[in-house]
Amino acid sequence: MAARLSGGENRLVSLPLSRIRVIMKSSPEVSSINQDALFLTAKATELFVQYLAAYSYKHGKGKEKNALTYSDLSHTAEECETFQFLAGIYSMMVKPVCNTQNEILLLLNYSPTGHQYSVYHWTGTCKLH
Amino acid sequence: MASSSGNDDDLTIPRAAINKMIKETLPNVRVANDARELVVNCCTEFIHLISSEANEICNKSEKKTISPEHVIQALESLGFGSYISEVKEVLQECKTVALKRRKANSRLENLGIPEEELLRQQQELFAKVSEASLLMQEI
Repeated sequence: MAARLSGGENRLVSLPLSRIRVIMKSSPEVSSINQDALFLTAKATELFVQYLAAYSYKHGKGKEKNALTYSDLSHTAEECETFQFLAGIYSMMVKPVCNTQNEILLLLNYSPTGHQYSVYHWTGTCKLH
Repeated sequence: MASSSGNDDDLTIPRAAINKMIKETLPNVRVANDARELVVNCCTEFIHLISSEANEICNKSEKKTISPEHVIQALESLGFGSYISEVKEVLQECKTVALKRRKANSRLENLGIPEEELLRQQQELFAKVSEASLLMQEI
């Protein structure tokens, strides 16, 4: 697999194929993946990141201060149909429970595809909006 | 139902790769760490989405291995049809590069001197060396 990627192909995809393969196979029902199919998935994922970032920036409030913010991204998930599969992640991640003034407990539950995330305990300033 | 992190599910695309893509897409734009972290997780989610769909399509086609065609159909049915032409283009480029490399390798092999000829040349050289050493002894 590595040999195939040497030389010219490296500049065509910037994501590590081996990692993508492992992520895909972490779903037990996924059996085997053709090399070209893996490559296509990698490229599609690249495009996804680019479109997500660009769309969120363009339609978001962050650009008033030349920034891409968390809420820009979450709005994209709510408003854009193709990105709606992400809505689960955002609503999980924005359920902060303030224990004290400075502690926020973030509970990440089920993602839409059923893959679970961890419980994070974050200490920092709390900006409620 | 929060659970502690499982090993498999913590797998994500390396942060550096994501940062680089964001930077190329939005140069000179500030992106906070929490936003970056989110993009990393969205990436993983996207990969799961595509592979689940492609896998279903693969099962229906009664094939055992997910093929590029299955991935393309998955992209289409999930609303990412606009990615298809660019993705296909890059796959084609990739195949062309691989093909060129294979051709270059085989051309090199064809220029190689056959083994029998190499052996003959070797024998000649050995013969010359023995003659030379005999002469040296006589001097």
